[in-house]
Amino acid sequence: MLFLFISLLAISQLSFADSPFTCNSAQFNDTIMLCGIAALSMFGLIALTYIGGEAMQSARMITWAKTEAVQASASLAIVGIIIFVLSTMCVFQVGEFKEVFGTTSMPKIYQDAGAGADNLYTGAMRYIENVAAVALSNVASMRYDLASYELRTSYTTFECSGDCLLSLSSVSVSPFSGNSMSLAISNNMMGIATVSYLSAIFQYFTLVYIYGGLFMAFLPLALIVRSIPFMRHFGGALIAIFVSLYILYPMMLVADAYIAPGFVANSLAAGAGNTGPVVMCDRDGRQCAGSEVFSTGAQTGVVCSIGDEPCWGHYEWELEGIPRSQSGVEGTFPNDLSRGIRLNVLIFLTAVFLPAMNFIVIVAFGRELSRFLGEEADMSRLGQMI
Amino acid sequence: MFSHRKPNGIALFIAVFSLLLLASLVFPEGTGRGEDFNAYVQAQKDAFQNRVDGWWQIAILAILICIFFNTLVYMLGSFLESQEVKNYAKSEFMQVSASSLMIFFAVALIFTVSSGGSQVTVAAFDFMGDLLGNGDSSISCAAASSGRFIIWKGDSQFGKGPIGAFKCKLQEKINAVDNAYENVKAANMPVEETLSMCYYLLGVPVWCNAWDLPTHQRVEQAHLLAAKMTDISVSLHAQYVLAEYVQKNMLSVFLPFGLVLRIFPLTRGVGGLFIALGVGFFFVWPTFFLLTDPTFINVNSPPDQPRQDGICFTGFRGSSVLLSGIVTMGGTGQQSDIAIAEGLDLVYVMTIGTVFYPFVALVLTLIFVRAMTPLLGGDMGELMRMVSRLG
Repeated sequence: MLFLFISLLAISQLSFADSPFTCNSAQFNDTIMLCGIAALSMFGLIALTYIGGEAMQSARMITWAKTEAVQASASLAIVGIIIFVLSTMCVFQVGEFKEVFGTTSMPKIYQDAGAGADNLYTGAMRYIENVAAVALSNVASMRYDLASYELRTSYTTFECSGDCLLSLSSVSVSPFSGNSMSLAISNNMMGIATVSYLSAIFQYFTLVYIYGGLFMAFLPLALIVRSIPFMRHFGGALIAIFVSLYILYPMMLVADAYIAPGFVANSLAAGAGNTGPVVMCDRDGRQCAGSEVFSTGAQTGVVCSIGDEPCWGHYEWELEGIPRSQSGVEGTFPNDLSRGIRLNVLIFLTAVFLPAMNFIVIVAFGRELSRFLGEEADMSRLGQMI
Repeated sequence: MFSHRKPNGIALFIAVFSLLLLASLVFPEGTGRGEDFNAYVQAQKDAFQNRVDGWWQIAILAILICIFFNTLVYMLGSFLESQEVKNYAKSEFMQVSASSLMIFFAVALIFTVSSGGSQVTVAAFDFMGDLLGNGDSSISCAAASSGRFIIWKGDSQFGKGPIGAFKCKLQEKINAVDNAYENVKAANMPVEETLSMCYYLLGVPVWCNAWDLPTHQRVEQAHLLAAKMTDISVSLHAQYVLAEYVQKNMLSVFLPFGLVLRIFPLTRGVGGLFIALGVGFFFVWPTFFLLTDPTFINVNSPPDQPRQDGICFTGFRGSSVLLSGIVTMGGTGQQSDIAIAEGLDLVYVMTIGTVFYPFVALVLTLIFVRAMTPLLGGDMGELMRMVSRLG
């Protein structure tokens, strides 16, 4: 078993060369060394207990030592398998997922980044960065719409007929006051856009936190804890959490990267209503950063536009210079409502619905794994806490 | 390490094996079905076969790995003289065998094993054909070029099959809501502009139109309608994107993934859930959606005897005529009251159409998934919790 563990350690060294985050060799060496020390300590303790049991003729100690020897070996094997899978993920390229998903072209975000040469960890990070970026671009777009509607609805003119100076009479009118209807609706859309952005950025920072390596300490800890009476279920839960966060979560994000372009692909044929590409107006000057998440090498899911049909108007900072005249206010062009809804829904489903599906899969797997390793961990409640 | 598990793998293995053996003997290849239906099934079969072909190596590798480890576990059980470990290994062996059968016969189970026109349905597509009719079954859809969506013939925008029909119905509603919204907006604009007027004398407002309560009420009504329409529109767009998701991923991703994941004991829960979701949302959900839609007309090929005899007319349904007329709303609303009255009607009908019919289909699908998942060794507790929270 020890030989197997050392062999895995040697193999894994090959995969950790110059990789970021989880695939950092220094970080992994420490973890593997800690696991080795924990395993040796456990086996030492078991051996001592066995010797003690033999010396004192204590059947209980001998039985404990025998049981724990099996359990410690099982824990060591599990940790070895986990490290092997982690090292495999560090060399597995996201472009290879193309075969698994049976698609002819890979997501554009991966194609642009070295033709799918990212490993699974970098690929997951690239995807979530893009989702957060497109959600932020959408917030900027909604912000522009809200600002233009505010400008329109707050614009008031005093219409003064020829003799008003003499009679001191006038009429005030807000020619765009009808836009208050759209203002309220855009506010609603802004809420959805903000939730999507918060969800995406939450996942981004969660991934950064995971990659930071705090949970790496769970592996050696789990090796020891699983052999302490009454604590086996806790050790199993630690391993399940580790596997869920370091193996399953990045893998699911890469799978999402392949699924996301499919949300719009069938609608790409020209047509009215829900068909045709989704149009995003570039209002923050970042060229709709992240919108490639809905595109593959073969087709563009979200078209970025500014200063052209249908995204007439300006960047959001240019609204400050709009002359406060009827023609000036008329020159602001908020996005069409239907188009805005479609874009918002698309981003919401990508940033909120797909992660919810990921969570279901992760919880189901984590529960099964913790059950296999000892007792069932209440992953659902852990998720609720998060 | 190994929790006590009821060794139900043998029963599952025997059930799957018997089903496959008997089904292939009893039911020949389907005949007498409509040409469009056959073409649709064939296209789906080719696509699925293509996907499965790409998965063979992974699936076989997974099966071999699992058998290898099962053997090791059995040897360990023999070495330790642990009956529990040996039982576990045996149970796992049967589970792997059942999974292998499912993989090897996946195409047959879904496409090939056919009722051949008899009263018993085996293949999943036959199940759909029996329930929805394998002829020119159609559904009223204003977004389709001819006003009706022929289910198996399909449309270039929405694709073929029940999910294509579902998308067409959604598009019809999206168009209607968009038009109604534009009408209400156009009708409201001048009224609201008038409402914003204030008359001043000596710098003091002497009359503001906003003080006229009936006009104010009309504008507020338009605002409320627009807000409701937006909610409906968001829901419709979300359903459309999810329909795309289902159409693309259930047979090509969820089902193959599920079959492979089901092989390993640790991923059996997820695998079983994936298989149940794949089958449930590709077959059950759209089928029941169509069945609960009042405008759906079931046509078999060849036609039923009463229709052949000319006793019944295909597609004569009062409610279908009525409902198909309601959701098509066109033109530009100039008259404020008319636009708002039409909008009110539409919001009422749309709320039922957008929430009720898909909800019924969703509930039936979840019942199916809930029943099927434990049979496949899956775990769907979290999914149900998510659905109940959404509700």
